[in-house]
Amino acid sequence: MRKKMAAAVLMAAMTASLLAGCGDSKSSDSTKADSAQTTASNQSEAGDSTSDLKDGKTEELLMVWPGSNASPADMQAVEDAMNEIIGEKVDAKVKLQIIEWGAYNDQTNLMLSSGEKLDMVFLMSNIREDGQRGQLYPINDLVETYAPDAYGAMERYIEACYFDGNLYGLPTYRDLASQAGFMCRADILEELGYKAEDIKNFDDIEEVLKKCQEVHPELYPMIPSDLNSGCFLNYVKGEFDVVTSGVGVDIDDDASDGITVINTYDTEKYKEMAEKAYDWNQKGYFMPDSTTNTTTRQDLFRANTAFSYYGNQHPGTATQETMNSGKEIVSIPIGRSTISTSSVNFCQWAIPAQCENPKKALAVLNLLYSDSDFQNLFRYGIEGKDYVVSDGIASYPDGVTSDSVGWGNELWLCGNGSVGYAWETDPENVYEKFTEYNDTAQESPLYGFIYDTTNVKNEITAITNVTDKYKAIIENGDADPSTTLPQFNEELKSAGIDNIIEDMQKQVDEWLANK
Amino acid sequence: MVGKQERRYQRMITVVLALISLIMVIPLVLLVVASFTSNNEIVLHGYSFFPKELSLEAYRYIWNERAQVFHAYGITILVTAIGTTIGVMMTLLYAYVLAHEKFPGKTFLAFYLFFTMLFNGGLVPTYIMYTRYLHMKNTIPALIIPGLLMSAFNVILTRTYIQSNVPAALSEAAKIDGATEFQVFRKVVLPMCKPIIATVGLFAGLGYWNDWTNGLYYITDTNKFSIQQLLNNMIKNIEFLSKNANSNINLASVGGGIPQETVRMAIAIVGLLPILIVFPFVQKYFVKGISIGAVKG
Repeated sequence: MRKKMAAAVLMAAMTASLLAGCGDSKSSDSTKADSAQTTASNQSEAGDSTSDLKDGKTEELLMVWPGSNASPADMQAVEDAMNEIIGEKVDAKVKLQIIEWGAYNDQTNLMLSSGEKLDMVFLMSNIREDGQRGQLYPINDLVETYAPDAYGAMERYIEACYFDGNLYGLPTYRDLASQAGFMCRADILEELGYKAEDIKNFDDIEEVLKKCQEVHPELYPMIPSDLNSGCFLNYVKGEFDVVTSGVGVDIDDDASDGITVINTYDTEKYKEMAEKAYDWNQKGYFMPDSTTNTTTRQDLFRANTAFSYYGNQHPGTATQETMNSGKEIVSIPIGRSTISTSSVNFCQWAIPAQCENPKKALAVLNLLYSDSDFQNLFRYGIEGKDYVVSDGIASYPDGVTSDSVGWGNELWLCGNGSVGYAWETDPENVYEKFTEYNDTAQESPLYGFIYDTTNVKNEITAITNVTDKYKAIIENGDADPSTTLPQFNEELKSAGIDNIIEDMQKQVDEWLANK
Repeated sequence: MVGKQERRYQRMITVVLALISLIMVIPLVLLVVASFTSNNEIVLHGYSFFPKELSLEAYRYIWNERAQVFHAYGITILVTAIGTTIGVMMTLLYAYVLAHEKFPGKTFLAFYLFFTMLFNGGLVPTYIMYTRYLHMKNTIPALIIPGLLMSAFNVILTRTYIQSNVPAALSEAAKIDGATEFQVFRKVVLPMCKPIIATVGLFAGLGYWNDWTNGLYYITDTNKFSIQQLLNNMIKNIEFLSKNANSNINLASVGGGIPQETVRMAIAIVGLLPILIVFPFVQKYFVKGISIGAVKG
């Protein structure tokens, strides 16, 4: 009897969960349908933006982004000042909320999936997954009407934020391209008798490292740029556009005759890197135990143990590294500068699906891309209190430091920072440099393509395990690549990398055909 | 007279126990020492019991946040006090009913309890329930109720304790003397349950003290941060900043100059200290309660 009852309860519970499952998918379907409908209806209304935005109903819009202090002192003042500017153009008010870095992804994920109030969110996760789950509002038809300046400013880059034909985000102005470079201590480089301009390729770097080893045996000539990784993590950066799990394309692949998806670990360039890493490791240029190192490069520089690293570089890297490591660092671009979908769309402003008035939200975001007062307010806070301006350059007022300032946001989350002031520690003409850096970068043949990983989830997990085992060791030259590299690729094959290649090739061909 | 063999046996036990406790204490000492070491020293030479260069920079970093740290301590103490009290009361009542031979619906209640040990709604549904239907986001109850208020395991522990330590005859005798059900519970059963109350209270209290997940999910208002959440956020922020310092984003004005290695150690100590102080006072009950409650499932 008791058993029967238990069975009945279990049955009931399972049915309930099944039903719940159904309900879930239905509701997400309906949100999709809803948003499709709204986009359709918006199309007919488009063109009459002022009446939509000044409809007399002041709506409160919740704006969420990450920061290192969740409640800075001047939050209320900034919010009020922002609302004043917004009030002139849009009948809306913003409510600001900063979430600390460490908790940001967890909390925004929960907010997006629970459908609680949220109107503008700064996304640092992949738009594909959020878009796929129906958590984001497609802004294709609204963006040109309600956020024309944002669209205009980011036009070249906005392509990377499309998924499945829908636009889900506005990329921010920052270093949208990426490039690898050689970063080293300026004082020691000079002491060794070299100039930054002389270093153009890896042979030049080797010469410098060799000299450094002789003159400064107490320093590690080269350290890894990231934790738990090899010193050559970024060696092949710019040669491939790696989409997922090492699968990607050669950056020089010409799209006119179709694109070939490859395993980037099984290429001549990767092999060349592996051999060089092994050679340099044998010569003692690398920091020992790089692959298990958990001390950041900044700390290693600060403790006076390191000379250089090979990593990501963009305008301003040198100042940034100098500030964070307490040693003067010079940054020398080496690799090619490239622009890919992932270098653009890994952070952007987006409108969540639950937003009640996406038009107004977009119009507010538009201010961040066009209005210099609004931009300065959002980035630096209240003029005279949080920052002062001289010759168009903003800096802290006397007696205020980065610890005591009441407000401050990073350039890369401020929409279009170039409409506002530059910061005193930025390199000279920082915005021209950034724009040039972005505009001259080589586009990946897959630029604008977003891979749908649904079919290969298991393979990706399996491959992550294999790469965890080999990648850092190979890129640090800890083992002879003539045996390790084939072994690595062997294991990748048995983990199913060919399935990913095949699946991605199919999607790439489709994408190319529709382009 | 204690025999020679007995004395030798005692001595051996002492040595073994001393070794075991050393294994526990040494890392703790290292933790304390590391938190007072200078960060450069750790980067250069690794952790050591006898650092050459002492420094208070890690504590200075925490001290800079002292207003928030003390406030968060207050929140944690409040939450721990309220949560433990209510939690222990509910646990005792539930367990008492289950220990009762003739209580109607006992089978169902036992199953209902057991069911929660095996199945739960999952994170997102739970989150939606608490935020959208119970409106608990950014409230103190959000730190108390989700996942912590009652644990099925504690109820079973308590039930077993009551069954084996509070003779039914005693309750019956009280009833014959004219006590009501509630009086029996309060005057006869409760006083005999002190060890298990201490045990369950300690479990619950530790649970509340160490919890940061509720804060991570439900609290975004810095005025309601608990100490563990605050400390956890500090660590995660440092981690995030150092991990992403190399990615495309330009973190020009943040992350520089934090003594990363030592701050982690100092944070652990700040979180640990109050528990270290409280533990000696409750541990005598602790051992008794858990050993008795665990026998006879």
